[in-house]
Amino acid sequence: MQPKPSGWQYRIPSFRTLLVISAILRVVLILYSEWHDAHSIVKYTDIDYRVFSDAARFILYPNLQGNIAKGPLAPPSFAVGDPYTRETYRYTPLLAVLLLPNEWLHPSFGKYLFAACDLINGALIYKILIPHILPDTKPPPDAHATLLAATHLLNPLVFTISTRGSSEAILCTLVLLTLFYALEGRQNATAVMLGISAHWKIYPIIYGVSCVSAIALQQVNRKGWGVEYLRYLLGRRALRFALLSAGTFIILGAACYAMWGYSFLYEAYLYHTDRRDHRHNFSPYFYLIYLTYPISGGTSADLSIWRQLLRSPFTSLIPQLALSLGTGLALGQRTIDLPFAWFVQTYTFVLFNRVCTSQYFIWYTLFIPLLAPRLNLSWKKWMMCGAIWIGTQALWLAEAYKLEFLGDDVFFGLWVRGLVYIAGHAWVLGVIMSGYTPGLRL
Amino acid sequence: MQAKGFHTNLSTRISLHARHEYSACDLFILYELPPDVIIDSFELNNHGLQFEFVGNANLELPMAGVGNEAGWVLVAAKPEGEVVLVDVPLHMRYGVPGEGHNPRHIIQLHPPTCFWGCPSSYKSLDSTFSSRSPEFAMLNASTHFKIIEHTTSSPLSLNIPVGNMNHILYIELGTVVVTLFAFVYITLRCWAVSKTLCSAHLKMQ
Repeated sequence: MQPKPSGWQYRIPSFRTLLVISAILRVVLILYSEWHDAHSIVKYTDIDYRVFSDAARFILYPNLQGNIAKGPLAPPSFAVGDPYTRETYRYTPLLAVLLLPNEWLHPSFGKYLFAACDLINGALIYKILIPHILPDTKPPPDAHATLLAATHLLNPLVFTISTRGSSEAILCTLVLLTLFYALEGRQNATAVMLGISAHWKIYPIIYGVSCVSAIALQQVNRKGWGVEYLRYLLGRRALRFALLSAGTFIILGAACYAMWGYSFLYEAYLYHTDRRDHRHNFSPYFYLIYLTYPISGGTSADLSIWRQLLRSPFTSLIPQLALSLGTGLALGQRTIDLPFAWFVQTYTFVLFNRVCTSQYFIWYTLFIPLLAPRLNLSWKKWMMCGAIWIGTQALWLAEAYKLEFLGDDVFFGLWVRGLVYIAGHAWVLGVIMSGYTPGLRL
Repeated sequence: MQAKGFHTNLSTRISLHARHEYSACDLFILYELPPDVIIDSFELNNHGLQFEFVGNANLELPMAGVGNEAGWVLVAAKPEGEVVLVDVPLHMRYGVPGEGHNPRHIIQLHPPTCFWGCPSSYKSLDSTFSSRSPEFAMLNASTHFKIIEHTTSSPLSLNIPVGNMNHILYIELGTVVVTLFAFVYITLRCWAVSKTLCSAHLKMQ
């Protein structure tokens, strides 16, 4: 009789079992959310879910509160409602369309959709790990991949976000699909998915830079970035990728504009270019925005040029764009490095954004299961990174509670903790970057 | 009583003496809210309140971004029992920043007006209840009104901290300096890692 194989990898349940457990967990939480919301004034469901659901209702019931789609090609023969009638609905109208079954099927349909996307994301992580990331590491890859996928599927941040009704899971699915196709070498599919992802939320546009860089470097025979690299960066294949991606983005945007008009353009995109989030959030810029919020008719034109520069949104925009795009060029050297490049790009985008809430973190923690096998870090470094990443947030949250609910005058202290958040998270990123080892495959 | 913090519940207690005399009437509570105070209509729906709001519905602006226009909330309450309790959740906008040590802003709330809205058969009652309030569709069926005297409401003022303009130079410099340091640190790390990646990939080639 053969001895039973030993080792931790043989004690890991199968990926199918993990999916079933994850699905059951999410169904239970969604059912609990319905009971909780019916019996408590403090709701389990995120306020955003009510915003999405209301927007879906407005689409289905035009002329309710005078709402009607105002696009140039809105059908004259039957009225379609305008999701932007709902205040604070600042998303693509396709999200409200996806949630139409909330009205005619069940109010929790959207939560089940987001939970299903969570499971798809876990499956995509698994499918990316086995052929692309884990072949270079120790066997057996399926147990290792299951364990890594579990860090996403059983992550409390992930399953509470989706079961509370936040739509981030859909964006994660689109981004992971884009990455999956990129790693499979299917550039056209990658370009189309990137266009769809950027339509959904604008920031995935930054991934285009690393994709194009990887495409260019695939064709470069000599070392480094020289004239040859630049030539291929603007060459036929890179151009085709960019045009296909941009074309997808434009077609989707044009279709939505045709139906819903300027309100779509403004709420989904233009609003975010000039938003002034003055209320406290992790970014230390909140306090600057609050103190310099223009009183009706007032300007800062009488300040010196240096003071105007210090207050300028470019002090955060330039580092943000420079890093989120520049790291894509610098680190997207091969297709196999794309998970790492996208992680760094997203991390820097979130870190230097003038507003930051907890939900933004999922945009980059999504990539951690794909990075982990390539990070050569000691347990001590891992623990320090975790402690600082979480600790700086906890430090901020403790002060924010005092401001929000106790009414303590802690604006300055909260701002200082925002600076600590920036410094701490920058350090964590530096450690992770230093620990990255490239894969063996191109 | 004064509440601190940016969120509170305005609790109104109405004693309904001789409510049987107003059996054909509806019970209303009218709140006049200063521009510092926000109500979230969707939250009030969740609380099961039947209400109407007139005022600035933009929840996202600080005081510096809104005018001086008051908001009005009319709530229809169910007159079940001798005492009726109504809670309305309120949220505060960030106030205009001040100066000095620990600047704060006190928001005074007008006590709400509680009244019966009655049909035309109640001819002995007044035909108005407030000279300043806007018109409400909920009052279309009421032509005569009786203000209820025995009501208490809490809190009647709200005490919130405001930003301190004395900090502005530190905020400007500190934010930019830390952002710049973080930018330089990450750029240097990125440069080092990209060189390592380049060497590693060239070796593979």
